[in-house]
Amino acid sequence: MKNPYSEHLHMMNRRHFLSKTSLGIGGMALGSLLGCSAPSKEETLTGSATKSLPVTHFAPKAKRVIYLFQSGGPSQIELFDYKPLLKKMRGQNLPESVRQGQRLTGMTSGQSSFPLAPSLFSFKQHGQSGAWVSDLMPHTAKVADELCFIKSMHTEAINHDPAITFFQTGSQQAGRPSIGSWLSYGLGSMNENLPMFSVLLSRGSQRPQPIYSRLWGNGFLASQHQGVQFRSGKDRVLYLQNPEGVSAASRRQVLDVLAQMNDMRLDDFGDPEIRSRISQYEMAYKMQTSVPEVTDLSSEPDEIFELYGEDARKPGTYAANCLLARRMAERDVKFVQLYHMGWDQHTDLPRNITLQCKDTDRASAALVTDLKRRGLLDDTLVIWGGEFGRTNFSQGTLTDTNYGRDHHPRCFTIWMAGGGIKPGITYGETDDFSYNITRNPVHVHDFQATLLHQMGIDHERLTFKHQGRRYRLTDVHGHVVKDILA
Amino acid sequence: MENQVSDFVLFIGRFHPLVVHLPIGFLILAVILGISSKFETFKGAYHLLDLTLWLGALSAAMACVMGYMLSLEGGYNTDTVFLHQWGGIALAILAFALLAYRKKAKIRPLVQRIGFVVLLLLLLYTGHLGGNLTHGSSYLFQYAPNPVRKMAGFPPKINRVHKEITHIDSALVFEDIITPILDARCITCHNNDKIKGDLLLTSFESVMKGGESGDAIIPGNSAESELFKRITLPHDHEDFMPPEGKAPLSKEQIGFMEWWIDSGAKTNATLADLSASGEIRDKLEKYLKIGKYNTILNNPIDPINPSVVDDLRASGFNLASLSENLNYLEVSAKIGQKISMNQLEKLTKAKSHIVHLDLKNSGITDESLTIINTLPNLIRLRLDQNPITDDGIRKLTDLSNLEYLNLSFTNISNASLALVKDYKNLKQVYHYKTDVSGTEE
Repeated sequence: MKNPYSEHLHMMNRRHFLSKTSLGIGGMALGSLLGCSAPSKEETLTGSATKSLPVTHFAPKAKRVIYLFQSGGPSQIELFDYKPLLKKMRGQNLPESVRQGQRLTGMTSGQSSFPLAPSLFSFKQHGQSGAWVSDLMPHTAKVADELCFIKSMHTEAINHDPAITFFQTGSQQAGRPSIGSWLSYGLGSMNENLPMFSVLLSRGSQRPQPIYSRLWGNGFLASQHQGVQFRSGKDRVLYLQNPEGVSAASRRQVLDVLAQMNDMRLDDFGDPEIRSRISQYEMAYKMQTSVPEVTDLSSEPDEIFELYGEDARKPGTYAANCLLARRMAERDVKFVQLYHMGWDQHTDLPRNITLQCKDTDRASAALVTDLKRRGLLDDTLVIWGGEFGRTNFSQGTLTDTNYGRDHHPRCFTIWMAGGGIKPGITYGETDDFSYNITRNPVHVHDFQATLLHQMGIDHERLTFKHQGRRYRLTDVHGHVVKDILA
Repeated sequence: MENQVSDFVLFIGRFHPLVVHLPIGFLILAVILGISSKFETFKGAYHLLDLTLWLGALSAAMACVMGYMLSLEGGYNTDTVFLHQWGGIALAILAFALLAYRKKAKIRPLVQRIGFVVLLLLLLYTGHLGGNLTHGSSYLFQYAPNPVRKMAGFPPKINRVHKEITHIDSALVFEDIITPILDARCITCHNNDKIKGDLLLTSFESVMKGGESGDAIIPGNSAESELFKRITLPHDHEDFMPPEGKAPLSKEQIGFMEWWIDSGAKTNATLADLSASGEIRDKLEKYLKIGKYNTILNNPIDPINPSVVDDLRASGFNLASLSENLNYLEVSAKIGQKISMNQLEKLTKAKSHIVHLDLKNSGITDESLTIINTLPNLIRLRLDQNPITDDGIRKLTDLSNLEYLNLSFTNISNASLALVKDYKNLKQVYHYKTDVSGTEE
């Protein structure tokens, strides 16, 4: 048997080394995964290995990601996936030949019929690309030529939490690292003053499904890779400001002493989480100045609020978060994860989706426009999409003016823009019922593989060993969707 | 004729390329033992000679039978098959003959030795023919140096890569685009020695002639062209080409095939003749690595000296390799860091390496652009949020590889835009919130 004590020491040295390099653990960890031999103690002592450069698997096309997550499952049928046949077959039962045994949630499984419900909203083709966008999204329609619509997304889950967890972590069960954490681990940060994985939340007028903080959790990765949530209140990040009566100088002093003590503890004990903690304290200290700076919208001219909408002046709205995301992207924050809740329209869909679009359409399009004119869209990947789609039949009674839709995992639409994705294309097709995919399906793991690919990472090679096996964001699945790469 | 042969026979026949390695191994060992018996040191192994010879003879006979079964499948050059077949049979007979001879009371060592030498030569000859049947006769010497090729009776290598296509419009569609694809993916089974499905893909004429399944190419109709159908079937389909285990055509190669067939499958047409446009043209330019695509990154470069990395880091820059295979550098000013002339000067130590440079909001001025102008390989340059004017842009005269230039939030005017117009590779210039009048973006 190996001597656990020497094993422990060995582990400590390696981790020590990784965390002491100035490039961020991620860059180094990736470096070692790329086949460079694990750094030996000698290298640590001479410091020669610190000269190595952070390396990606491919030359990255995107340097940052802004992921506008539309939580609740926006209806593809009302927004992007134009299906005239549904109008003709309005009220008829969904043919079994189309449903093919698709499992239903508890909310519709008891229904005696599944009356097909066409969209109440009309569609037009927009831009040179001729993309179909519904009248609910006039602003998105205007930037259609910048967007790549993927109509053939599909997922495995049929309920919100597993579906969102699947999108964010690659597994329906909670506990794996989020996409942003993987990127932090793999790429490190280019901005020492702001967390590289930032999270912004907003909600629509409807009472939404909740979002849990574990969605931006680090899972088994070191805790410094977890997302940092920005709030809308006075404290944009909780517990960041000094309490009243504590001066900046005394705070600095406390932190210095604390760091010394933590260093001693680290030397004794070798727990890498201590190193994480030291770096977190330092980050928090820097954020005391950087966070107020990045969240202060007072320097934004009026025309910006015209573009994003007046909502953007109100902290905590989707529009304000989009504007904040742009400001973070300008400061090279690598991964900005927005969540906008409230797309779960089981009932009163026409009314609720209208409100939801009013809240989000203008700002989403504004973000694309704003990034583009600043020259940032080129290397910023913007993603808009939810965790699944909605059924083509009505949940509850279908009337002339009202209906609802249940969750539908077999097809839904998302869009991407910038970051080396082909602009102005529509990828994938669904059948005339918007129920099954007929061409170029894109699985959640394919989406994740593509996202990592654009950031310069081979999804099969970014791994972390935990509980005896190596884990990836895409588990053992996923193919990069090469057809949509510019 | 193929239909008359039972599947079982073909099934057994397919084991020929596998089993055939047994007699090769055994007989070579037998030859070594037989000839080396002359030397004292090897005496000890001599008693194994009969056993190896037996094994060699039996496996050779087995390989002959299976080889015959395989030949029933057809699709091989009949002359080569004839020679290979009788070479193999002769080999088996000779092996048995040697065994019989060794049973004699009195063995003359010279006769035995001549027998083994003949056996070896016959083995090499037959084996080589077999290799030619499987891989094509040009396989072995494909990468041989030209003098060796000459000795083996091959024409000197045609190095298609070196035939520079200077302008995309002058590229010959069949010769420069389609032929290399066929060479890379199809020709190992559709050549003069191995003509699977009676289809030869070595020249324009033979491609157009088609094979036993009909016309490989129907000009103007890719959907009906057998060749195109086969390469676009689902990969697990029985008729998919190239067959399982061999690398399929890439999506873009398939795209070029489709486009060539649909535009009439002409032999001597150039891209200009076919008026290739839009996406296909972009793809071809990328594929052929010509035209507007920057070639800098195709030239390998040695990793940067680590001391330079340290030096640049100490001067307020972040550095990263472009990728694990590209030692070119991406350099950015640390966020919030103001970069002085002295610090900027340091960049010239890595001037061939830096391809991406991000100096946003780093307080650089017109003067410093003189230094940036000495970084010849820059592809992306961010100068946004700096007090730069047209005078500065005037200093940027040598950045011919630049593709992306961000001048947003600077004090430049239309004059700067006129200046950068001459950059042949420049695709994106951003000048949001500057003194440029007219349309934004």
